[in-house]
Amino acid sequence: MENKIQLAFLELLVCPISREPLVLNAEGTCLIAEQSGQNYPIEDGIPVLISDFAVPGEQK
Amino acid sequence: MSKYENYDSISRTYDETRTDVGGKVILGLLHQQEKSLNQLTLLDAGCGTGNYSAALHDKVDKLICADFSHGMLSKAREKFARTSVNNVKFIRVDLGELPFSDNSFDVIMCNQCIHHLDSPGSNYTNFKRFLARAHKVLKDEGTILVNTITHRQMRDGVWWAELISPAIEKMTLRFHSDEEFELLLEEAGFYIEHRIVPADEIIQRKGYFDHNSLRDKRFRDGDSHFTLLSENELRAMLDTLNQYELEGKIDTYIRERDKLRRQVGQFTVFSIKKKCM
Repeated sequence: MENKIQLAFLELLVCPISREPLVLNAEGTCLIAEQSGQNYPIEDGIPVLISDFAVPGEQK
Repeated sequence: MSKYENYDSISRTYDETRTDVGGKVILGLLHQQEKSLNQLTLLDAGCGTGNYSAALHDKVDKLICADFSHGMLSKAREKFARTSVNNVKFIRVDLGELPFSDNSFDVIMCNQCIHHLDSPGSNYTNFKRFLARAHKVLKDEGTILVNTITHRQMRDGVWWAELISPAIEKMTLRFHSDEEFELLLEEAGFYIEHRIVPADEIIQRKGYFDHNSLRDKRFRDGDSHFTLLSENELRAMLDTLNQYELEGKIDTYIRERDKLRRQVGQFTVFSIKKKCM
């Protein structure tokens, strides 16, 4: 299953809550909004960028 | 994010009756953009099973397919699985949030989906949220292509509309009128550049002229109006159908009703431009 997001596409994506850019975690399993600390899962290769499904993580 | 359909379930059979109706109009309007087609970054907002994207992906530079339903997105991705496509990505989103960077897209297309955003009486809150975000994520001079159904087309665009009038009445409350649509666009900083009605295109062409199609749940699942019928209303529709068949007048009924469809069409494609502030 493809979990990698190409850089050109990653640049188009933002956190639906804070509107900040997202980074891919080391395992390639979720997208992280570092400032606000929201994590967005990648399920079956498809990022779920929906505020209701955000998982709080560590805030920078 | 449909307010009344379970698209994760419907995704399994959706493509049996639905195609990229209006796709050629969309392609023509994409050709009219200032940039050449192969330089466009396109967002398919409410992509469903990806019928429109599948027809367009090899013509544009980048394409994002976005939908709320994981089931529909998975079906969409299957359409690209056998080819080495690397300019398409699939993202699960709430269309009211559009989680994309400002000035990202040349064109956003919304095919047969905006009526799923709001419940009746909600004052089109989610559609307004969508438009506000669309204004941000579109580039200057960007375009939204909205493929939708007007109130008149809802009433006269399919031969069976009269038979499911309770559903049509309910659905009308989910679709803005022409006047409301223009006002919502104006308030969000957009204007309508073109409106095109391909009068000869039929949304569910396969089985459209066969009255037995209405007895087939899989066919009915391809038209979200049927979901709004109560069990009694559905039974009443099937009873009327049986009665017309017994009386030998079903073919005449379909033919006469279809004359209206040829006058008003089944859907309208709006080309909507972002006003530069």
